[in-house]
Amino acid sequence: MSRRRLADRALGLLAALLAAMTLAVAPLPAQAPENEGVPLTAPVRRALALLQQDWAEWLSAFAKGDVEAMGESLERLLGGLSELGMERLPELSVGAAVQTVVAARQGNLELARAALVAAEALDPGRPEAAAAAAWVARAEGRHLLAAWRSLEVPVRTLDLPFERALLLHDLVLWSLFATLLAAALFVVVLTAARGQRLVSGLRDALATRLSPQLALVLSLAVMLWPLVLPGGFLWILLYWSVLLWAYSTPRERVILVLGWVLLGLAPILVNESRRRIAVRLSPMVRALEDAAAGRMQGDVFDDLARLRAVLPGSVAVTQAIGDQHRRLGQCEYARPLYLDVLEQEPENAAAVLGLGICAFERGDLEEAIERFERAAALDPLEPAAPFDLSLVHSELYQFDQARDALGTAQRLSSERVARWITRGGPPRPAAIDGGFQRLEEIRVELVRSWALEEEGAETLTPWRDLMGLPLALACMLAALVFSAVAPQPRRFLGPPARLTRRAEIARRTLLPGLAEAWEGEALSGFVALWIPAALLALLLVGRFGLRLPLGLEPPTPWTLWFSCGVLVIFLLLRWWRAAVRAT
Amino acid sequence: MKIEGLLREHPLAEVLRRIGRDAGTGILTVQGEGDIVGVTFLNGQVMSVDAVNQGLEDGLGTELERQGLVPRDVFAGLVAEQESGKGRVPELLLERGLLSRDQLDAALRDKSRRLCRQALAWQDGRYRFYSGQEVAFERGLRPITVDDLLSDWERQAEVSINGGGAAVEVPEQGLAPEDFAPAVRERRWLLWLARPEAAAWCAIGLAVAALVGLIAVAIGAPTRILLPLDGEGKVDASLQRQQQSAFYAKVDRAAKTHYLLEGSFPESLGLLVEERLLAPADLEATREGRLAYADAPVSYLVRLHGETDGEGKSHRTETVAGHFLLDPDFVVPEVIEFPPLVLLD
Repeated sequence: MSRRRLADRALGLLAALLAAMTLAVAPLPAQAPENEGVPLTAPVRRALALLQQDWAEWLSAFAKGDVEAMGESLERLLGGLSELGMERLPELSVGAAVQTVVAARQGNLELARAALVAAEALDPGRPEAAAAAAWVARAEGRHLLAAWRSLEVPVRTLDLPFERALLLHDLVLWSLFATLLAAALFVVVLTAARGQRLVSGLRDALATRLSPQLALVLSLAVMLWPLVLPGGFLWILLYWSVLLWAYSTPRERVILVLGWVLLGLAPILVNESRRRIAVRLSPMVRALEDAAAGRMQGDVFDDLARLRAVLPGSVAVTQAIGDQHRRLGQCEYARPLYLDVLEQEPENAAAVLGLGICAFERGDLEEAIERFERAAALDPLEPAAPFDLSLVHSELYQFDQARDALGTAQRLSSERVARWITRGGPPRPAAIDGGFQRLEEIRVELVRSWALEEEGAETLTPWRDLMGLPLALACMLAALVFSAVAPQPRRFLGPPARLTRRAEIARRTLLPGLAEAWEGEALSGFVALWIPAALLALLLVGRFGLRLPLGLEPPTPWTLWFSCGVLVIFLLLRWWRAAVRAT
Repeated sequence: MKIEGLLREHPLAEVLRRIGRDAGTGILTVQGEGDIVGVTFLNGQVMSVDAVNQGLEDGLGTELERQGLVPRDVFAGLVAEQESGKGRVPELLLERGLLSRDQLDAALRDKSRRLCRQALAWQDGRYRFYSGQEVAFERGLRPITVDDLLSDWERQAEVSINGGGAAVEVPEQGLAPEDFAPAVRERRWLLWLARPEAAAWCAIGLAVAALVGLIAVAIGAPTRILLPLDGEGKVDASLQRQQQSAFYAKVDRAAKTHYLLEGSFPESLGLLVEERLLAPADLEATREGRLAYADAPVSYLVRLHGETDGEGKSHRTETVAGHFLLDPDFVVPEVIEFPPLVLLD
């Protein structure tokens, strides 16, 4: 995108917004759209419109390269956000991060840094800001710093609830994939190291009646028959693991048993993780999570309205939407919602406190005192109610009562009270986001609702999940039975002869697990297989896991770099250990 | 007849001559330098010589290979067959047509001479003759007289001193295939299959094939590794739907970021990749195929290729309506009702 085009776009957007603002101050024949679920008052609409205007001005200043004007627009954006009772604007933060990359690619590093400041200020700690910082570092020619900043992206992702949930889901699938792949590789290595005893044993057993050549062919047929089954390739590894049990050391047997158990548990773990993430993928839940964290997404009102439509009888949702209205300063909408909550839950201290705040905001101090005292009685360990009570008494010039109430609040949590006192602006009552704190309850209600079932969170029959465990048990029993009758070979070759020093080092370095298997070091052999399996899984996680909805890609694909780095370290360590052993 | 003593006092040649002279029948054991040799006598003639530390492969096998008759690996295959109860090696050699009776006889006699020469060179050791009425030996084998043995030993010692006429040296890895008769060459691989090495190589071959297959499955169909027991693919299908949902969330964030900066949705998903809002791999996010994308002034549609709008099992339409940062209508405030103004002139 050229700079001129960007300027044209930004100015066009600004013109459209200013036109809209002009219309806003004049009487209009058309009725403004009204969101039935989460209605907005005119002051809130105006505040939101100002956010649009300030953003357009920020873009315009960016297009002109006016860093000072960008800073002023940013200040206005943050001020407007604070008026709405919110703390972060993630979409604008991502937008600023993208503009950082545009400026960095154009070589305008001063402008890039100014845009990066905006990205960090609009939603501190966002991964996209780290990605943008990596782009800036790359434009500066600091490639190591760029790689480091790219690695910061997944770390920052852990701070975001939705992205963290996806990351944890991917982590479960990744670890499961890596361990199952390592277990399968372990069976392959056992086949190479112990398989000749199995093949020789079968051949010798069959050779009592057949020629040795035919016996060998039949032995191979015995080994390979599961290939005729549907999905036979993976069954064959399971089958070999059962056969090889008889020829394995006790430690190798432990790993085989753990592999079977994990194979049995895999469907349960995958399904559980899948069910948990299904609800998190719902935009309604994401909107609620963001709102609870003070992040104001552009379609938050739509999503909250949908949530209310999906769960019309949910007290938790009602209270959460009440909290959202209260934050926006729309007490006329918050009050009836809190009253609805109290009808269902008369002892809901957070709702009582919310009603007290609404009464305080409209100047009904008597009701405010009554509500705050009731909230303090319902939750005597919460300092917000006595703190708010002290504010009301101050308004009424009842300074003794105000001092007493403040003292009570400070005894309960001096730290929180200090934070409330030192926040900017006139003294405001402290609130409890009782509805937002009921996120888990809302998730459970959503899972139960028909709406989520429609969205693909259907549950599979439980017995299917549990099918793997009897299979694991059957593997153990089959292995025990076979080990009792397993044919032992009359003659077999031992471990391969030692090669020259260099060849031996190369073999031990490049064939992880095999040397360990020959030496009976089962655990270190498994670890040696798990590490490359885990690195492969990391590169493939996008194929079986969920993609993180990051708003900006870092310049360095961190998974590839991380995998390559760990692989090099792993091979170097193996080489060093092999060289020490060879010496 | 009791013959027993030390080699230092009575050299082996003297002991052999005495037994030959006395027409003894039985087994003479000689415990010497690192080995024990047994010489089987029948009426004063040597029927066979064996060594404790040299199995069939080391003894007869080496001899047959030295003479270019049977390769080492073929002989080892026969030994494996003998161990699996298929018959004795000399019989198998004759049965399989690998040797004629004369060749086998000559090879056995040569082996006996070689072991005898080895024992005759010992300076230290003990000997003892166990006389008996009967001894076991290879059927049809022609005996060697003690004089023959001793003259062979003296002749070889002489050759060795003069430095000429050395025996054929067998390299460690065995003679080349062309050193053997065609019939032997043809049967070589068949006989190799009976050896322990064949089983070892089979196991390694299976392991390598499994490794290649496993990596191919892991890269080509990773969920098969994750859910190998999900035969009907129900969990896999469900995972896939979730993958699509997460992917659509990513596309939505990218498209709306583009709208936030440009005032319109992108013309194609490729543009989002150029702007680094999506990764190149994202365009191949689904396992069912590539994605189709269509933009409109205030909305966009993303779906799988080949699926029609609204009918596909997986598609997503997103709009800016209701988005307070993108929707131009959102900023329009409520209508303010002013009382009519009456202007008086």
